[in-house]
Amino acid sequence: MNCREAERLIDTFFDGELDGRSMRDAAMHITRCKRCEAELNGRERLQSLLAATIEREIEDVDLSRIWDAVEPALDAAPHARWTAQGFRLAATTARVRGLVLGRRDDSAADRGDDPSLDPAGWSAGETHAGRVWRWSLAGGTALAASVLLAIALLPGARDGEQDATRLATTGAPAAEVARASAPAQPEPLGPASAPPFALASTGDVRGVRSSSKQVQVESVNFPRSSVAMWSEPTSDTTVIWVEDEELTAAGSR
Amino acid sequence: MSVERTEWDLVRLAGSGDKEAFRELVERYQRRVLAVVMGMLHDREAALEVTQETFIKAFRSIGRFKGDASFYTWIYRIAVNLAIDHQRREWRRPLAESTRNNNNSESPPEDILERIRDQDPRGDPFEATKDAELRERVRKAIDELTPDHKAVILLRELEGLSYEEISRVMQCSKGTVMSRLHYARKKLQARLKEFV
Repeated sequence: MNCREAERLIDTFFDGELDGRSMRDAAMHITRCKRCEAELNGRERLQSLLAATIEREIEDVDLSRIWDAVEPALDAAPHARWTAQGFRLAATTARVRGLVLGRRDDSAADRGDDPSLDPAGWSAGETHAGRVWRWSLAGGTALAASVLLAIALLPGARDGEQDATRLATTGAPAAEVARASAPAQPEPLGPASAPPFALASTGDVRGVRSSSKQVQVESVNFPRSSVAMWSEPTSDTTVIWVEDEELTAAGSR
Repeated sequence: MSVERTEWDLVRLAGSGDKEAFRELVERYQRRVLAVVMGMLHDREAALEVTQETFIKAFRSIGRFKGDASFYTWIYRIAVNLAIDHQRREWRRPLAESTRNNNNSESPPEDILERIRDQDPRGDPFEATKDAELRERVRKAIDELTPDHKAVILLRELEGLSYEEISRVMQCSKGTVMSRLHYARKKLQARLKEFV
Protein backbone atom coordinates (compact mmCIF):
# COMPACT_ATOMS: atom_id res chain seq x y z
CA MET A 1 0.00 0.00 0.00
CA ASN A 2 1.28 3.47 -0.85
CA CYS A 3 0.49 6.85 0.73
CA ARG A 4 -2.17 7.65 -1.86
CA GLU A 5 -4.09 4.46 -1.09
CA ALA A 6 -3.58 4.90 2.64
CA GLU A 7 -4.89 8.45 2.54
CA ARG A 8 -8.01 7.22 0.78
CA LEU A 9 -8.61 4.70 3.55
CA ILE A 10 -7.51 6.74 6.51
CA ASP A 11 -11.00 7.81 7.62
CA THR A 12 -12.41 4.31 7.41
CA PHE A 13 -9.29 2.97 9.14
CA PHE A 14 -9.62 5.52 11.93
CA ASP A 15 -13.33 4.73 12.32
CA GLY A 16 -12.74 0.97 12.32
CA GLU A 17 -14.93 0.50 9.27
CA LEU A 18 -12.45 -1.41 7.10
CA ASP A 19 -12.58 -5.15 6.59
CA GLY A 20 -9.88 -7.23 8.25
CA ARG A 21 -7.47 -7.46 5.33
CA SER A 22 -7.63 -3.75 4.41
CA MET A 23 -7.31 -2.88 8.09
CA ARG A 24 -4.11 -4.91 8.35
CA ASP A 25 -2.67 -3.43 5.15
CA ALA A 26 -3.47 0.12 6.21
CA ALA A 27 -2.01 -0.46 9.69
CA MET A 28 1.21 -1.84 8.16
CA HIS A 29 1.63 1.27 6.03
CA ILE A 30 0.61 3.86 8.62
CA THR A 31 2.97 2.54 11.30
CA ARG A 32 5.89 2.83 8.88
CA CYS A 33 4.98 6.14 7.19
CA LYS A 34 5.49 9.33 9.20
CA ARG A 35 3.26 11.39 6.96
CA CYS A 36 0.30 9.03 7.17
CA GLU A 37 0.86 8.55 10.89
CA ALA A 38 0.71 12.33 11.34
CA GLU A 39 -2.51 12.39 9.37
CA LEU A 40 -3.99 9.74 11.63
CA ASN A 41 -2.84 11.58 14.75
CA GLY A 42 -4.53 14.69 13.39
CA ARG A 43 -7.83 12.78 13.22
CA GLU A 44 -7.39 11.71 16.83
CA ARG A 45 -6.64 15.22 18.05
CA LEU A 46 -9.59 16.62 16.14
CA GLN A 47 -11.86 14.05 17.73
CA SER A 48 -10.62 14.94 21.23
CA LEU A 49 -10.95 18.66 20.53
CA LEU A 50 -14.52 18.36 19.30
CA ALA A 51 -15.57 16.12 22.17
CA ALA A 52 -13.92 18.36 24.77
CA THR A 53 -15.47 21.52 23.31
CA ILE A 54 -19.01 20.17 23.23
CA GLU A 55 -18.64 18.47 26.63
CA ARG A 56 -17.56 21.77 28.10
CA GLU A 57 -20.56 23.52 26.60
CA ILE A 58 -23.06 21.18 28.18
CA GLU A 59 -21.30 20.31 31.42
CA ASP A 60 -23.14 22.83 33.55
CA VAL A 61 -26.53 22.47 31.90
CA ASP A 62 -29.19 21.47 34.39
CA LEU A 63 -30.47 18.33 32.68
CA SER A 64 -33.53 18.14 34.93
CA ARG A 65 -34.90 21.05 32.91
CA ILE A 66 -35.46 18.64 30.05
CA TRP A 67 -37.86 16.33 31.87
CA ASP A 68 -39.49 19.28 33.65
CA ALA A 69 -40.46 20.68 30.26
CA VAL A 70 -41.25 17.35 28.62
CA GLU A 71 -43.55 15.91 31.28
CA PRO A 72 -46.38 18.49 31.11
CA ALA A 73 -46.41 18.18 27.32
CA LEU A 74 -46.88 14.41 27.49
CA ASP A 75 -50.38 14.71 28.94
CA ALA A 76 -51.41 16.81 25.99
CA ALA A 77 -49.69 14.52 23.53
CA PRO A 78 -51.93 12.38 21.35
CA HIS A 79 -50.95 8.83 22.17
CA ALA A 80 -51.42 5.22 21.26
CA ARG A 81 -54.62 5.19 23.32
CA TRP A 82 -56.54 6.68 20.47
CA THR A 83 -60.13 5.75 19.94
CA ALA A 84 -61.07 3.51 17.05
CA GLN A 85 -62.58 6.57 15.40
CA GLY A 86 -59.26 8.35 15.70
CA PHE A 87 -57.50 5.46 14.03
CA ARG A 88 -60.01 5.41 11.19
CA LEU A 89 -59.61 9.13 10.67
CA ALA A 90 -55.83 8.84 10.68
CA ALA A 91 -55.93 5.94 8.23
CA THR A 92 -58.24 7.85 5.88
CA THR A 93 -56.09 10.94 6.08
CA ALA A 94 -52.99 8.90 5.35
CA ARG A 95 -54.66 7.32 2.35
CA VAL A 96 -55.82 10.68 0.97
CA ARG A 97 -52.40 12.13 1.66
CA GLY A 98 -50.83 9.22 -0.16
CA LEU A 99 -53.10 9.73 -3.15
CA VAL A 100 -52.63 13.47 -3.37
CA LEU A 101 -48.98 13.78 -2.43
CA GLY A 102 -47.47 10.43 -3.21
CA ARG A 103 -46.39 7.82 -0.69
CA ARG A 104 -43.50 8.98 1.36
CA ASP A 105 -42.66 5.53 2.63
CA ASP A 106 -42.14 4.34 -0.91
CA SER A 107 -39.72 7.11 -1.66
CA ALA A 108 -37.89 6.34 1.57
CA ALA A 109 -37.65 2.70 0.54
CA ASP A 110 -36.30 3.78 -2.83
CA ARG A 111 -33.47 5.52 -1.07
CA GLY A 112 -32.74 2.37 0.87
CA ASP A 113 -34.07 3.72 4.16
CA ASP A 114 -35.80 1.67 6.74
CA PRO A 115 -39.34 3.04 7.12
CA SER A 116 -39.55 1.57 10.61
CA LEU A 117 -37.04 4.17 11.64
CA ASP A 118 -39.63 6.78 11.01
CA PRO A 119 -42.64 5.82 13.07
CA ALA A 120 -43.26 9.48 13.59
CA GLY A 121 -43.79 9.68 9.86
CA TRP A 122 -44.02 13.12 8.44
CA SER A 123 -43.71 14.95 11.68
CA ALA A 124 -40.49 13.52 12.99
CA GLY A 125 -38.64 11.97 10.09
CA GLU A 126 -38.94 14.67 7.54
CA THR A 127 -37.13 17.94 7.28
CA HIS A 128 -38.87 21.28 7.34
CA ALA A 129 -38.17 22.00 3.66
CA GLY A 130 -39.77 18.68 2.66
CA ARG A 131 -42.87 19.41 4.70
CA VAL A 132 -43.19 22.93 3.33
CA TRP A 133 -42.95 21.64 -0.23
CA ARG A 134 -45.52 18.91 0.27
CA TRP A 135 -48.00 21.05 2.15
CA SER A 136 -47.61 23.82 -0.41
CA LEU A 137 -48.54 21.31 -3.08
CA ALA A 138 -51.55 20.19 -1.08
CA GLY A 139 -52.55 23.80 -0.44
CA GLY A 140 -52.19 24.65 -4.12
CA THR A 141 -54.35 21.71 -5.12
CA ALA A 142 -57.02 22.70 -2.61
CA LEU A 143 -56.92 26.31 -3.80
CA ALA A 144 -57.25 25.29 -7.45
CA ALA A 145 -60.21 23.07 -6.57
CA SER A 146 -61.85 25.94 -4.67
CA VAL A 147 -61.41 28.32 -7.61
CA LEU A 148 -62.93 25.81 -10.03
CA LEU A 149 -65.85 25.23 -7.68
CA ALA A 150 -66.40 28.97 -7.24
CA ILE A 151 -66.45 29.48 -11.03
CA ALA A 152 -68.92 26.66 -11.42
CA LEU A 153 -71.22 28.18 -8.82
CA LEU A 154 -71.05 31.78 -10.06
CA PRO A 155 -74.48 33.41 -10.51
CA GLY A 156 -73.90 33.79 -14.26
CA ALA A 157 -73.15 30.14 -14.74
CA ARG A 158 -76.11 29.09 -12.69
CA ASP A 159 -78.37 31.56 -14.54
CA GLY A 160 -77.25 30.06 -17.81
CA GLU A 161 -78.24 26.64 -16.61
CA GLN A 162 -81.56 27.87 -15.35
CA ASP A 163 -82.26 29.68 -18.61
CA ALA A 164 -81.42 26.56 -20.57
CA THR A 165 -83.79 24.60 -18.42
CA ARG A 166 -86.48 27.23 -18.81
CA LEU A 167 -86.08 27.29 -22.59
CA ALA A 168 -86.20 23.56 -22.78
CA THR A 169 -89.16 23.13 -20.51
CA THR A 170 -91.33 26.06 -21.51
CA GLY A 171 -91.12 25.31 -25.17
CA ALA A 172 -89.71 28.69 -26.05
CA PRO A 173 -90.15 29.90 -29.59
CA ALA A 174 -87.71 28.42 -32.07
CA ALA A 175 -86.45 31.92 -32.89
CA GLU A 176 -85.45 32.56 -29.32
CA VAL A 177 -83.60 29.27 -29.09
CA ALA A 178 -81.87 29.92 -32.37
CA ARG A 179 -80.91 33.39 -31.25
CA ALA A 180 -79.47 32.00 -28.10
CA SER A 181 -77.54 29.21 -29.76
CA ALA A 182 -76.15 31.13 -32.68
CA PRO A 183 -73.43 33.78 -32.87
CA ALA A 184 -76.08 36.45 -32.90
CA GLN A 185 -75.88 40.21 -32.47
CA PRO A 186 -74.35 40.85 -29.05
CA GLU A 187 -76.51 42.23 -26.27
CA PRO A 188 -75.31 44.26 -23.31
CA LEU A 189 -74.35 42.12 -20.37
CA GLY A 190 -76.06 43.20 -17.19
CA PRO A 191 -74.59 42.91 -13.72
CA ALA A 192 -76.47 39.69 -13.13
CA SER A 193 -74.91 38.09 -16.17
CA ALA A 194 -71.38 39.45 -15.83
CA PRO A 195 -68.74 37.15 -17.27
CA PRO A 196 -67.22 34.76 -14.78
CA PHE A 197 -63.81 36.23 -15.48
CA ALA A 198 -62.47 39.76 -15.61
CA LEU A 199 -61.97 41.20 -19.07
CA ALA A 200 -59.11 43.58 -18.70
CA SER A 201 -60.25 46.33 -20.92
CA THR A 202 -61.78 49.73 -20.74
CA GLY A 203 -63.77 49.09 -23.84
CA ASP A 204 -67.44 48.41 -24.12
CA VAL A 205 -68.08 44.84 -23.10
CA ARG A 206 -71.00 43.22 -24.79
CA GLY A 207 -72.07 39.73 -25.22
CA VAL A 208 -74.68 37.09 -25.43
CA ARG A 209 -74.62 34.56 -22.71
CA SER A 210 -76.29 31.64 -24.30
CA SER A 211 -79.25 30.38 -22.42
CA SER A 212 -78.28 26.88 -23.37
CA LYS A 213 -75.06 24.94 -22.84
CA GLN A 214 -74.55 24.78 -26.58
CA VAL A 215 -72.89 28.10 -27.24
CA GLN A 216 -71.47 31.16 -25.51
CA VAL A 217 -70.78 34.46 -27.17
CA GLU A 218 -68.80 37.33 -25.66
CA SER A 219 -67.52 40.48 -27.26
CA VAL A 220 -65.40 43.41 -26.27
CA ASN A 221 -65.66 46.64 -28.22
CA PHE A 222 -62.79 49.04 -28.11
CA PRO A 223 -62.90 52.53 -29.65
CA ARG A 224 -61.44 51.35 -32.92
CA SER A 225 -61.65 47.59 -32.74
CA SER A 226 -63.64 44.76 -31.31
CA VAL A 227 -63.08 41.20 -30.18
CA ALA A 228 -65.79 38.59 -30.26
CA MET A 229 -65.54 35.10 -28.90
CA TRP A 230 -67.87 32.27 -29.75
CA SER A 231 -67.45 29.03 -27.94
CA GLU A 232 -69.17 25.72 -27.96
CA PRO A 233 -68.16 23.84 -24.82
CA THR A 234 -69.74 20.57 -25.87
CA SER A 235 -67.49 20.28 -28.90
CA ASP A 236 -64.62 22.07 -27.22
CA THR A 237 -64.54 24.67 -30.00
CA THR A 238 -63.83 28.37 -29.67
CA VAL A 239 -63.82 30.94 -32.45
CA ILE A 240 -62.37 34.37 -31.84
CA TRP A 241 -62.93 37.34 -34.13
CA VAL A 242 -60.66 40.33 -33.91
CA GLU A 243 -61.86 43.26 -35.95
CA ASP A 244 -59.74 46.31 -36.45
CA GLU A 245 -61.74 49.18 -37.94
CA GLU A 246 -58.68 50.80 -39.45
CA LEU A 247 -57.71 47.60 -41.20
CA THR A 248 -61.31 47.01 -42.31
CA ALA A 249 -61.50 50.58 -43.63
CA ALA A 250 -58.16 50.18 -45.38
CA GLY A 251 -59.39 46.91 -46.87
CA SER A 252 -62.59 48.48 -48.16
CA ARG A 253 -60.63 51.33 -49.64
CA MET B 1 -34.37 -5.70 44.70
CA SER B 2 -35.22 -3.95 41.48
CA VAL B 3 -34.38 -5.55 38.15
CA GLU B 4 -32.97 -3.19 35.57
CA ARG B 5 -35.30 -3.00 32.64
CA THR B 6 -33.97 -3.32 29.11
CA GLU B 7 -34.32 -0.56 26.61
CA TRP B 8 -36.91 -2.54 24.71
CA ASP B 9 -38.97 -3.07 27.90
CA LEU B 10 -38.94 0.64 28.48
CA VAL B 11 -39.92 1.39 24.91
CA ARG B 12 -42.87 -1.03 25.11
CA LEU B 13 -44.04 0.39 28.43
CA ALA B 14 -43.69 3.95 27.21
CA GLY B 15 -45.64 2.96 24.13
CA SER B 16 -48.54 1.97 26.31
CA GLY B 17 -48.43 5.34 28.05
CA ASP B 18 -46.13 4.60 31.01
CA LYS B 19 -44.59 7.97 31.73
CA GLU B 20 -42.14 6.62 34.28
CA ALA B 21 -40.70 4.24 31.71
CA PHE B 22 -40.41 7.09 29.26
CA ARG B 23 -38.73 9.20 31.91
CA GLU B 24 -36.09 6.50 32.27
CA LEU B 25 -35.48 6.58 28.53
CA VAL B 26 -35.19 10.36 28.63
CA GLU B 27 -32.68 10.16 31.45
CA ARG B 28 -30.63 7.57 29.58
CA TYR B 29 -30.34 9.60 26.39
CA GLN B 30 -30.86 13.26 27.25
CA ARG B 31 -27.18 14.08 27.64
CA ARG B 32 -26.18 12.42 24.38
CA VAL B 33 -29.01 14.05 22.46
CA LEU B 34 -28.24 17.42 24.02
CA ALA B 35 -24.56 17.10 23.07
CA VAL B 36 -25.34 16.50 19.40
CA VAL B 37 -27.94 19.26 19.27
CA MET B 38 -25.66 21.67 21.12
CA GLY B 39 -22.89 20.86 18.66
CA MET B 40 -25.20 21.72 15.81
CA LEU B 41 -26.80 24.86 17.21
CA HIS B 42 -24.20 26.44 19.48
CA ASP B 43 -26.95 27.97 21.58
CA ARG B 44 -27.73 26.49 24.95
CA GLU B 45 -31.35 27.58 25.20
CA ALA B 46 -32.12 26.55 21.63
CA ALA B 47 -30.41 23.21 22.20
CA LEU B 48 -32.46 22.57 25.33
CA GLU B 49 -35.63 23.51 23.51
CA VAL B 50 -34.86 21.18 20.59
CA THR B 51 -33.93 18.35 22.97
CA GLN B 52 -37.22 18.75 24.83
CA GLU B 53 -39.13 18.82 21.55
CA THR B 54 -37.28 15.67 20.46
CA PHE B 55 -38.52 13.71 23.46
CA ILE B 56 -42.06 15.05 23.20
CA LYS B 57 -42.16 13.99 19.57
CA ALA B 58 -40.67 10.63 20.45
CA PHE B 59 -43.35 10.01 23.07
CA ARG B 60 -46.08 10.86 20.60
CA SER B 61 -44.73 8.32 18.14
CA ILE B 62 -43.28 5.65 20.37
CA GLY B 63 -46.39 3.48 20.12
CA ARG B 64 -45.56 2.96 16.48
CA PHE B 65 -41.86 2.25 17.04
CA LYS B 66 -41.33 -1.27 15.71
CA GLY B 67 -38.03 -1.93 17.39
CA ASP B 68 -36.21 -3.22 14.33
CA ALA B 69 -33.83 -0.33 14.74
CA SER B 70 -32.22 0.77 17.96
CA PHE B 71 -34.01 3.38 19.99
CA TYR B 72 -31.04 5.72 20.10
CA THR B 73 -30.68 5.74 16.30
CA TRP B 74 -34.35 6.63 16.10
CA ILE B 75 -34.12 9.37 18.72
CA TYR B 76 -31.03 10.86 17.06
CA ARG B 77 -32.89 10.98 13.80
CA ILE B 78 -35.69 13.03 15.34
CA ALA B 79 -33.18 15.27 17.11
CA VAL B 80 -31.02 15.89 14.04
CA ASN B 81 -34.04 16.68 11.87
CA LEU B 82 -35.38 19.11 14.44
CA ALA B 83 -31.97 20.75 14.82
CA ILE B 84 -31.63 21.14 11.05
CA ASP B 85 -35.14 22.62 10.90
CA HIS B 86 -34.27 24.99 13.70
CA GLN B 87 -31.10 26.09 11.97
CA ARG B 88 -32.89 26.70 8.69
CA ARG B 89 -35.53 28.76 10.46
CA GLU B 90 -32.76 30.81 12.03
CA TRP B 91 -31.17 31.42 8.64
CA ARG B 92 -34.48 32.62 7.26
CA ARG B 93 -34.99 35.11 10.07
CA PRO B 94 -35.02 38.74 8.99
CA LEU B 95 -31.54 40.24 8.82
CA ALA B 96 -32.31 42.95 11.37
CA GLU B 97 -33.39 40.42 13.96
CA SER B 98 -30.39 38.17 13.51
CA THR B 99 -28.04 41.16 13.58
CA ARG B 100 -29.63 42.32 16.82
CA ASN B 101 -29.21 38.89 18.36
CA ASN B 102 -25.65 38.59 17.14
CA ASN B 103 -24.83 41.91 18.68
CA ASN B 104 -26.31 40.68 21.93
CA SER B 105 -24.23 37.53 21.82
CA GLU B 106 -21.01 39.43 21.20
CA SER B 107 -20.21 40.27 24.74
CA PRO B 108 -17.82 43.03 25.70
CA PRO B 109 -14.32 41.93 26.77
CA GLU B 110 -15.00 42.37 30.49
CA ASP B 111 -17.92 39.95 30.17
CA ILE B 112 -15.67 37.37 28.50
CA LEU B 113 -13.15 37.61 31.34
CA GLU B 114 -15.95 37.28 33.85
CA ARG B 115 -17.28 34.27 32.01
CA ILE B 116 -13.85 32.66 32.00
CA ARG B 117 -13.47 33.32 35.75
CA ASP B 118 -16.92 31.83 36.36
CA GLN B 119 -16.09 28.76 34.34
CA ASP B 120 -12.75 28.04 35.91
CA PRO B 121 -12.37 30.03 39.11
CA ARG B 122 -9.46 27.95 40.43
CA GLY B 123 -7.49 27.72 37.19
CA ASP B 124 -4.70 29.81 35.82
CA PRO B 125 -6.28 32.84 34.04
CA PHE B 126 -3.86 32.45 31.12
CA GLU B 127 -4.71 28.80 30.73
CA ALA B 128 -8.39 29.61 31.03
CA THR B 129 -8.11 32.29 28.37
CA LYS B 130 -6.23 29.97 26.04
CA ASP B 131 -8.82 27.30 26.66
CA ALA B 132 -11.67 29.70 25.96
CA GLU B 133 -9.99 30.93 22.79
CA LEU B 134 -9.42 27.40 21.60
CA ARG B 135 -13.03 26.47 22.20
CA GLU B 136 -14.14 29.59 20.39
CA ARG B 137 -11.98 28.62 17.41
CA VAL B 138 -13.35 25.10 17.40
CA ARG B 139 -16.87 26.42 17.69
CA LYS B 140 -16.41 28.81 14.77
CA ALA B 141 -14.93 26.04 12.65
CA ILE B 142 -17.93 23.80 13.37
CA ASP B 143 -20.32 26.63 12.60
CA GLU B 144 -18.84 26.96 9.13
CA LEU B 145 -20.00 23.48 8.23
CA THR B 146 -23.39 22.85 6.71
CA PRO B 147 -26.03 21.26 8.99
CA ASP B 148 -25.60 17.90 7.26
CA HIS B 149 -21.82 17.92 7.67
CA LYS B 150 -22.15 19.01 11.27
CA ALA B 151 -24.61 16.24 12.05
CA VAL B 152 -22.43 13.56 10.47
CA ILE B 153 -19.23 14.55 12.23
CA LEU B 154 -20.91 15.03 15.60
CA LEU B 155 -22.67 11.68 15.42
CA ARG B 156 -19.35 10.05 14.61
CA GLU B 157 -16.90 11.92 16.86
CA LEU B 158 -19.12 12.52 19.86
CA GLU B 159 -21.42 9.55 19.81
CA GLY B 160 -19.28 7.01 17.99
CA LEU B 161 -22.06 5.89 15.68
CA SER B 162 -21.07 3.56 12.85
CA TYR B 163 -21.43 4.62 9.23
CA GLU B 164 -24.44 2.35 8.94
CA GLU B 165 -26.12 3.96 11.94
CA ILE B 166 -25.33 7.45 10.71
CA SER B 167 -26.77 6.61 7.31
CA ARG B 168 -30.01 5.57 9.04
CA VAL B 169 -30.13 8.71 11.13
CA MET B 170 -29.39 10.97 8.18
CA GLN B 171 -31.47 9.00 5.65
CA CYS B 172 -28.63 8.81 3.17
CA SER B 173 -26.28 6.15 1.84
CA LYS B 174 -23.12 4.99 3.58
CA GLY B 175 -21.12 6.47 0.72
CA THR B 176 -22.64 9.88 1.40
CA VAL B 177 -21.80 9.51 5.09
CA MET B 178 -18.19 8.71 4.22
CA SER B 179 -17.80 11.63 1.86
CA ARG B 180 -19.46 14.08 4.27
CA LEU B 181 -17.28 12.85 7.09
CA HIS B 182 -14.13 13.16 5.01
CA TYR B 183 -15.06 16.68 3.88
CA ALA B 184 -15.97 17.81 7.39
CA ARG B 185 -12.74 16.45 8.87
CA LYS B 186 -10.60 18.02 6.18
CA LYS B 187 -12.30 21.36 6.60
CA LEU B 188 -12.01 21.31 10.39
CA GLN B 189 -8.37 20.22 10.23
CA ALA B 190 -7.60 23.07 7.84
CA ARG B 191 -9.33 25.58 10.12
CA LEU B 192 -7.67 24.24 13.24
CA LYS B 193 -4.29 23.34 11.80
CA GLU B 194 -2.39 24.92 14.71
CA PHE B 195 -4.05 22.51 17.09
CA VAL B 196 -4.42 19.26 15.20
